[in-house]
Amino acid sequence: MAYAPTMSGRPRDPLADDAIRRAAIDLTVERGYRGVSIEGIAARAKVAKQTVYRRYRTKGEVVLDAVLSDADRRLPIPDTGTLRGDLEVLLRSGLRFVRGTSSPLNKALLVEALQDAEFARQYRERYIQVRRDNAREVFVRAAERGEIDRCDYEFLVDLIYGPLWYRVIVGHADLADSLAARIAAAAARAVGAD
Amino acid sequence: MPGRPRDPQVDEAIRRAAIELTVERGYQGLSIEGIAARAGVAKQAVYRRYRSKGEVVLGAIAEAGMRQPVPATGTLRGDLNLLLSNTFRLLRGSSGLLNRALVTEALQDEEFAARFRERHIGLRREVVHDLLAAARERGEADCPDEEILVDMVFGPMWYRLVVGHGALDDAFAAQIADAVAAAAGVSEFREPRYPPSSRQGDSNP
Repeated sequence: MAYAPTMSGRPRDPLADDAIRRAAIDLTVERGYRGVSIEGIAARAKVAKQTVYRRYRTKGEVVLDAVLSDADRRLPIPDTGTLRGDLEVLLRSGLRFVRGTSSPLNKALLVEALQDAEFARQYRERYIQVRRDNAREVFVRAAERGEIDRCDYEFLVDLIYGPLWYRVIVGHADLADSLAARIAAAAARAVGAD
Repeated sequence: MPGRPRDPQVDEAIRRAAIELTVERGYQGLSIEGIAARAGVAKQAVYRRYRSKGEVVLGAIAEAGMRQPVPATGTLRGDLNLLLSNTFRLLRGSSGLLNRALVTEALQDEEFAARFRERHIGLRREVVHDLLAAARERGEADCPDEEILVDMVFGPMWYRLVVGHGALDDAFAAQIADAVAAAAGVSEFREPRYPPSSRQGDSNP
């Protein structure tokens, strides 16, 4: 799934793909993103440096690919019958994705996106947008049920995911499961669906 | 170190140099040496004041933050709209670049992150807590779960600033102000009013 073009047309070794992604995750968790390099990833994965570079432009792209293949690709759209319930389920699964061992990985992706515009574009396309589309669908369905008015759904997605990312970025407060219910309650109140 | 009083002009020159160089060359190109050279002071003069280049940028941003007036428009929605539209205007300029630099540093250095929260984030959050308290005192809103309301004021802003998927413009400021006022329980915002055309009462000149 990497964007790097295959130079030789030779089929890739899926075992090497796995080993490289695994190494990127392990090293980021163990050493922090500053301590990760393509060389280090290659050494840990027991492949040549060129094998990594054939697949990825930067260490950030390895981590992004690793995070995406590690995650559940099927992001189910919650269907509890109410906007508030759906938001709570959505946010709870989002929270699971940004804490624990996923926390250093998410921070690494943000650091890379902050420093590399091309990476930021991939990050938005492959990671952020998928999650935003899911949240948007929750609001669209609430409008179809008549629970809220039709409106600027993109803004509402910012309203519910913003507080979560803010805590990931700034780290001023915890990312406990209870946060999902609190954001959902406030958002439902904001759109008159509480 | 010897208790000699600091020269405020040197402080100012160092901060200005850090801002200018970040804007010109990007944060990755910023160094203490470069800051000292641009400010026309010895490297030691910078190191006496700051541990790292991140600390210099933090100092500059924290200082600018303290100069920002606290809004008092008479309504929670008006206060939040003014606060956010002023903040967004700054973030669209060099302040956006500097804040992104601070976050880049904070995400990789827990000790720096703690100082970033204490000197920058915490103060900004305090301002919103005060605005919510004032609204409650006026009987305008009950403001349940104040902590989440503050997260809703700043969260969407940081999300867009870091991820870059949307603009930090006046319309976004007004949308956040409306939503937070409604979530805080301001009664005139209790009706769904999100179609952009229904925006009204913009108190920001």
